[in-house]
Amino acid sequence: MPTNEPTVVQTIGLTKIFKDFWHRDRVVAVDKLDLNIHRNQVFGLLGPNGSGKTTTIKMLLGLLYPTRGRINVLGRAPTDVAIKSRIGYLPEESYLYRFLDARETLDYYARLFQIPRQDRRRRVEQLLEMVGLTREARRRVGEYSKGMARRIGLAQALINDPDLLILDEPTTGLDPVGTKEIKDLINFLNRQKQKTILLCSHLLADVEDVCQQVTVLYGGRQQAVGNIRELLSQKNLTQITTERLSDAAIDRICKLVAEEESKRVVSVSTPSDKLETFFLRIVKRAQEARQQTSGVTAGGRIAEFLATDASQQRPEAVVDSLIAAAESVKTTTEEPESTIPPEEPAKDVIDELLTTTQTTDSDESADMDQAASEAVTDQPDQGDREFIDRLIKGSDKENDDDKE
Amino acid sequence: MSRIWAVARHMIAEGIRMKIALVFIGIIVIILPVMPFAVAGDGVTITSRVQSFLAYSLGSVSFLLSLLTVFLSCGSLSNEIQMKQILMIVSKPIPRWHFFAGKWLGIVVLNAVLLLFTGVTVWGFTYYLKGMPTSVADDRETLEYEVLSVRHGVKPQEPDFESIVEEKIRRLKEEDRLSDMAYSSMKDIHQRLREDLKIQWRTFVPGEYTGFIFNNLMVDREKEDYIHLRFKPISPSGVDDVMFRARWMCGDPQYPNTMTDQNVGEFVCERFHRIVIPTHAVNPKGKIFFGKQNIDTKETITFEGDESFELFFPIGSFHWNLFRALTIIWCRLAFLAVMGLLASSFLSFPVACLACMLVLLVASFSGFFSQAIEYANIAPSGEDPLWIVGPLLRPLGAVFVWVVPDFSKFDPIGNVISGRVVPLMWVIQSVLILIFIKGMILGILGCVILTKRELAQVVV
Repeated sequence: MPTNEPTVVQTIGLTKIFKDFWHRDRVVAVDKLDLNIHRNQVFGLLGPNGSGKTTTIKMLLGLLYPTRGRINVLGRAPTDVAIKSRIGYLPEESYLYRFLDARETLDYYARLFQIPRQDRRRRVEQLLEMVGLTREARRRVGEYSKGMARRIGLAQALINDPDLLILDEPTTGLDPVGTKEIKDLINFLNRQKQKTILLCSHLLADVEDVCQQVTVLYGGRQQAVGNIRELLSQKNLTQITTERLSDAAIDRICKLVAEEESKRVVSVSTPSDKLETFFLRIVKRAQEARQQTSGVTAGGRIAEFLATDASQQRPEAVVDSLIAAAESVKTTTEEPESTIPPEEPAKDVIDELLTTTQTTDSDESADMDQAASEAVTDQPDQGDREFIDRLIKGSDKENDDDKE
Repeated sequence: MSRIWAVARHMIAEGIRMKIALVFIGIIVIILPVMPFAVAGDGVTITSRVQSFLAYSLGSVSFLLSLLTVFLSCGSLSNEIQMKQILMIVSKPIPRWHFFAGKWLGIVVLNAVLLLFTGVTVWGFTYYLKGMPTSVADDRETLEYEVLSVRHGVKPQEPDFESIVEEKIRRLKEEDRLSDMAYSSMKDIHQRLREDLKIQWRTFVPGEYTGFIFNNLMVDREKEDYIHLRFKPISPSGVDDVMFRARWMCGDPQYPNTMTDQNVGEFVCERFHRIVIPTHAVNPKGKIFFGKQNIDTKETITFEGDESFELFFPIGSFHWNLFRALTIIWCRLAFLAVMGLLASSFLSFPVACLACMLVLLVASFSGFFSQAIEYANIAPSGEDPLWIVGPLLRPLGAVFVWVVPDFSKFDPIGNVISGRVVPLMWVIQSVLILIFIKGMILGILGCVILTKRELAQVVV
C-alpha cells in the first residue's frame, strides 16, 4: 500500500550479531533488515521463534545496539531519550515489580513521563478500567496471573498516549476477551487516532485481523514484505455467503456456475459458530450477572484520555460504516476492510456479535468476526458482480418455488 | 529532577517492602530499644553504662546499615537488569544516569530516615539512663562532664623536634656512628630519634619542670567558667598505683591578669585525672601557658599517647554532636551505596555483593592495606623469583586504596562516647571526600557503564 505519510520508523541494512565472551561472532540475529513504517500504519513483524523480531524491536528502542546499519525512529536515533516520550512499548513479557500494586505500577511509569499529578491520576484510573483491573488494583502485581500482568503491561504502554506503539507479542497469555480487546484497541488507535503501531507476533490470526503491512522474518532475514491484503488474496477464488439454502438450490447453483462460467464449485459448507464467538458470549453473560471473580472484570472501554479526539470524529465514522454496510448488503459479498465498523470497539462490537449469532441476522456487514475469518475473497471485479446478481435472483426464485 | 525523585521513591518502597531490607530495618528497630536494658558497662556507674550503650548501639546500627546498603544497592539494580524490569524503564524518556542517581538518592534517603530514627532513640535512651539511680558519688556529674557536655580537646604544642633531630643526625654522621643504628633507612632513624625526643619531653624526672603551650582555645575568657586538663600519668617502672606529687600553675607572663595561683596535688598513676583551670588564664590570643613540675623526690612519671595529656573546653551539646556523628556515618553509607550501584551496573547480585564486601573490608582496614602496598615496592632481594609481582601490583593497589576511603578516618563514634566534639570541618570533609569526590567518581563511572551497556543483552 503506497502511502504519502511520513516515515516513523526506518532501518537501513540493520544487522545484529551477538558475540560470545571472546568476541567471536556467535549468532546473526538480524541480517540486513530494511524496514519502512509510515505514520498511521499498523505494521506486523512476523516470524517463527528466534527469527529476530524481538531483537529488531529492542534495537529500535535502544536496548540493543546494532552491529551494522542505521536506525531512525521518529526522526532521531533510538538512543535519543527525547523520542521515548512519544513511544509506548509493551515487551514480550510484562516485566513488572512484584512488590507494587497495579495502581502504583502505573503511577510510577506515569511519573517517568513527567505527567502532571491530576492528569496522572486520571489516566491511571481510566487505564485500569480499560484493562478491567480496577477491582484488583490494590493487589500486588506479583500475585497476578500472566494475563493480568499482560494487561498492566498494555496499560503502561499507553499511559503517555504514544504516537508510536510497539507491541511485542501483545496477546500471549491473554484470554480471548483480552485478545479481542487488544485487537479492537489497535484498530481504534490506528483508525481514529492515526497512531502508528508496530506489532510483533507469531500468532498469525491476530496479525491478519489488524495489520495493513507485514514483514516476515526468518533467520534474521526479511523473507517477504508488503500489504497484507495483497499478500493473502486468492485471486482465483470467489466466495458467496447467503442465508441457509436447500440442497436442491445448491445443486442448481452448481449447475449454473458450470453453465455460465464453465467453472466448478470448490466447496459448499455451513459455517459453525467460532469457539471465540461462543466463549465471548459466555463470559459476557457472566459479567452481566456480576459473578464474583478475582481475575479481570469487564473492561475494554477505551480510556477517555486516549479517546478524546475520537469522540468528535465519531458521527462521520458511523455514517461511513453505514454506507459501507449498505454497499456490502447490495453485493452480498464481503469486503473485510470496509465492513469493520470503525467506531469504539469492544463492548459495542461484542454486543453486535452476540445479536448476530443469536438471531442469525442476515446483516453480515456487522458481523466483523465472520467477515475477518472468511474474508479470503478479494473485491470481485465488474464481471463477477453481474454474475452474482443473476445468481441471487436465481436462488430467490428457487426459494419461492420451494415455498409453493 | 522529578524523574530522579520518582526512581528514588520507588527505591524506598522497594527497600521497605522487599524482605532483605525489611530484616535489617526490623533488627535495628528491635535492637535499639532493647540495648539500654541489656548493657551494664562496668556494672556500677551509669557513666560507663551510657558509654557502653552509645558504643554498642551506634556501632551495631552503623554496621547493620552498611550491610543493608550493600545488599540494597547491589540487589536492586542487578535484579532489575536480570529480571529485565529495567527494559520498561529505559524505554521511557528517562536518561539512564537519572535512573542511577534516583536509585542512589532512594538508598541515601532511606539511610537518612533510619539514622534519624537511630539518633532520636539513642538520644532519648541516653537521657533515660542518666536519670537512673546510682550509688556512686559524682557519677551523674562525671557523665555530664565526660559524655554529655561536648568538649574540644587541645594537645600541647610540640617543640621544634625537627631541627634537634637534624642536628643529632649531623653529629652522628660526623662521628661516623650512623651505621651503629640498627635501622634500615634514614627515614627510620629519623622517626626513631623523633620518638625518643617526644618521650623525653613528656617525661618528668623528680624535680623536673616543663612548660606547655596550648593554642587555639575558643573560650570566652570574660565569662566565669572553667576548662579542664585531663591527663593519665604512668610510671615507667611499670608499677601500678604509684602516687606522686606535682605542682602546676597557668598564665601568660605578658598578661598579668592571666596568672593563676600555684597548686599542689597528689596523683595516682594509670588513672585519668582532671585539673580545673579558670577561663581567665587563657590569654586574649587564645593561648594558655601551663607549667608543671614533678615535686616528688623519687618517682619519675610520663605520659603515653596523644590522649594522655589534653586540655578540654566545652564547645557544644550532646545532641548536635550526635547529629554530626550520624552525618559522617551517613556519608560512609552514601559512598557504599554508590559503590554497590557501580558494582551492580555490570555484575550480578552475588558478585557485586562480594565486591562491595571486599571494598568495605579494605575501607575498614585501609591503613593496613596502604602500608602493605608501600612495602610491595621493596627492591628485589635476589632470592625470590616472584619479587616482580610486588612492584607490578603496587600502582593497581595504590589506585584502589586511593579510591576506597579509609573508613577509620571517618569513624566518629569514639568521639561521641568520650564526649569529644565532632568538628564541623570533619563533617564537611566527609561530605566532600566521600560524596563529592570519591562518590562522584564512582557514580560517573557507574552511569557511563549503564549508559554504554546493551541492557537487553543476555549475559550468562
